[in-house]
Amino acid sequence: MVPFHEIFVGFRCNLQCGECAARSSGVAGRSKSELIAAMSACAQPREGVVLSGGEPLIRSDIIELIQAARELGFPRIRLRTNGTPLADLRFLHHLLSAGCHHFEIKLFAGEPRVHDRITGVSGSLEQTWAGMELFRRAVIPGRMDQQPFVGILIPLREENVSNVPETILALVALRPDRIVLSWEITTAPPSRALPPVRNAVNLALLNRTWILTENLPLCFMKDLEVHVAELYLPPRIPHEQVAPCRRCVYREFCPGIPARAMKTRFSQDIKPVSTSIHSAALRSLVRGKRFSHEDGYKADAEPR
Amino acid sequence: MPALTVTLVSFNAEGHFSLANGYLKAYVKEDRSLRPRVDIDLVDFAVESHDARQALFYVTQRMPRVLGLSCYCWNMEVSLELARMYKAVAPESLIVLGGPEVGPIAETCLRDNNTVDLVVRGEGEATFRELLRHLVTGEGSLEKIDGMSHRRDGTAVSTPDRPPIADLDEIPSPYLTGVLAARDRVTYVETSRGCPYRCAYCYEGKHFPGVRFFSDMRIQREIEAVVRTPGVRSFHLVDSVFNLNKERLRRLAGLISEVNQRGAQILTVEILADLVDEETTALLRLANVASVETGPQTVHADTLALMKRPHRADAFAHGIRLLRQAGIQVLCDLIIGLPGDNFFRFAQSVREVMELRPTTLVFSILHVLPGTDLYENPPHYGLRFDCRAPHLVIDTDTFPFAEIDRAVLMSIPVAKEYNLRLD
Repeated sequence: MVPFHEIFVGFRCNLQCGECAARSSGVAGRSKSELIAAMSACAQPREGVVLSGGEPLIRSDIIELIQAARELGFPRIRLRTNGTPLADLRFLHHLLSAGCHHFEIKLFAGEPRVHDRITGVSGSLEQTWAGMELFRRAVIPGRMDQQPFVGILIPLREENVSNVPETILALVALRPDRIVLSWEITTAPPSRALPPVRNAVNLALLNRTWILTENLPLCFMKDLEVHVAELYLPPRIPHEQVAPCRRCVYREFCPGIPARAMKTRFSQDIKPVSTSIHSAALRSLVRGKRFSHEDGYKADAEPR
Repeated sequence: MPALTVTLVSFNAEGHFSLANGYLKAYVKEDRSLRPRVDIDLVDFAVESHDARQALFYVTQRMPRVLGLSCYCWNMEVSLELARMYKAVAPESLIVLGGPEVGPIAETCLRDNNTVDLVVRGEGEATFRELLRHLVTGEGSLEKIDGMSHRRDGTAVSTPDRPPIADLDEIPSPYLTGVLAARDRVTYVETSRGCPYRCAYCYEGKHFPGVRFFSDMRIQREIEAVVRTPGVRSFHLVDSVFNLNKERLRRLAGLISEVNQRGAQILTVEILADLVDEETTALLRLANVASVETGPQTVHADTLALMKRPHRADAFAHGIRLLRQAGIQVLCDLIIGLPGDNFFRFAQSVREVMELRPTTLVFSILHVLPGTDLYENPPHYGLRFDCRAPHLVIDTDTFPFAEIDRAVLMSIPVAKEYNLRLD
């Protein structure tokens, strides 16, 4: 629910994930001055900034960028990272000392076989996991009773979606603050792959961990609507509604499906919902204006 | 004749001490005839890290004739556990409970817990002193002590209610009498009792109708003593609505500023943000108030009306803005599980309060406390709750359990994500 301005630092990365959306931007790396200018252009009041890539932690100037964000008055600075560089305790300490206290770690699976195959780098899960374990005992320097915020972002691909319940069970042992399941599949119909996602949501809840889903319209998340991330913050990528959405009780609140999935079998799975007990409360919550991708990230919108 | 030994125990948040027990001891000590005949020991345990067996170890070193327990929703279970175990090793002892968790349900408490001998209802100072006088002198009877519940022939019975002490200055200050020693960050100075409002989830306004104030002189002397204590750089005020009366706020801010030469900060005081204007923020700054705690509990007017909580949304937002501009930290409270709310309405409250940019968001699940309207008339509110402390809401007609549970799970990361900010 806390808004963050997203600043894309470039697609350069130490992993080689297939179907990397960031790579399609064609921007390998943006200069420090360019990024500081982008941060400066963010509207006031400034709530939070997230540096995303690619892998922002492989930049040699990352500490300077965090310090710049701090000087620009962002009270919350987040890194979206694959987590591999965080296995270095001294580096983690530097990041925390510089003012980065929020982290979102991208991870595909709790099994090396699945994760490393997607990242294309053998041993990458081991490094990411080591970084996440460090977080369990990390405290923010000077604030001995406070730990950094650590969220987990799981991009769902064809290769890992069936494993997602097992991934959740492995992750909850690390006690992350939040897990987000981000649907990225455009080739297969969601209906076929949804059962493990719904199972994963329930497993996280059973293990007392808050979980959200991204890029899945409300009709797919029936009875689990409260976990739809787009109800609380604008989508991170453009969404559109399709023809059947016009008959759906959620049409006023639901962003629809990711625009890049419009011509895929995704849209064929859309089934309008005829009744919902949540309609009135949702109308009030979203005030009919929460779904514009442009509203949320126009300051520096780039692919993830 | 040996003095009557009394141990007053309280399980508090880590590092805190019980102001309530301090008042009891100070009030008893004020009685010259009782002073040499009663020996009261105050003991504070941390509810998070001490258990009943550790407390029992301490209590049994002394084997007091009277064991008093200060009961709140957060310590009821461990207090009863200690009472049970102490009664087992000292069957002749008298176990006395007091506090908001037991006062409103005194007879039920006696019926359900046969190791509890007496329950002090409502404001405890005068009742407890009369009880000790009776125990020391043997004169009179329990039946003649108002504000008390006990057993007669195995049945729980109650004497008439005792009216609250009209002049709060009659209660000696625990800080000025040396009963309590001020400590940095955990010292509470009470400036008033009661509340003018009658919020359905709150005990204060319903059972202490009308607001009574400690005199300005008493508050001044107490704060002076607190801030002169070496190492004390901050303290808290206990005042249900510190800014209710502008004239009083002017006086208190002036006198606090006068005695607070060392610049100790007031860490928290409860205010109504709806009533805040430019002069209020200036007065709060004059009093060196670092942070204030306020509602709104929920942003929904119909839920607030059902809860009988006053709230003017525009004035509230304006007040928060003024406080922020004045550099005063603002803690905004939201309750999960209020009758009338549901998950998405709670989420809307979070979003709207977040847009006001308070310093800190504080979430709590609804505790249906004994003595409140919610506790006494749950069908009216369509409410189900756990009858055992801490009396968490289970569900309401509008807020199913599964949604309340999810709202609690969501609130934890939202609070951490929002509250974790650079200075």
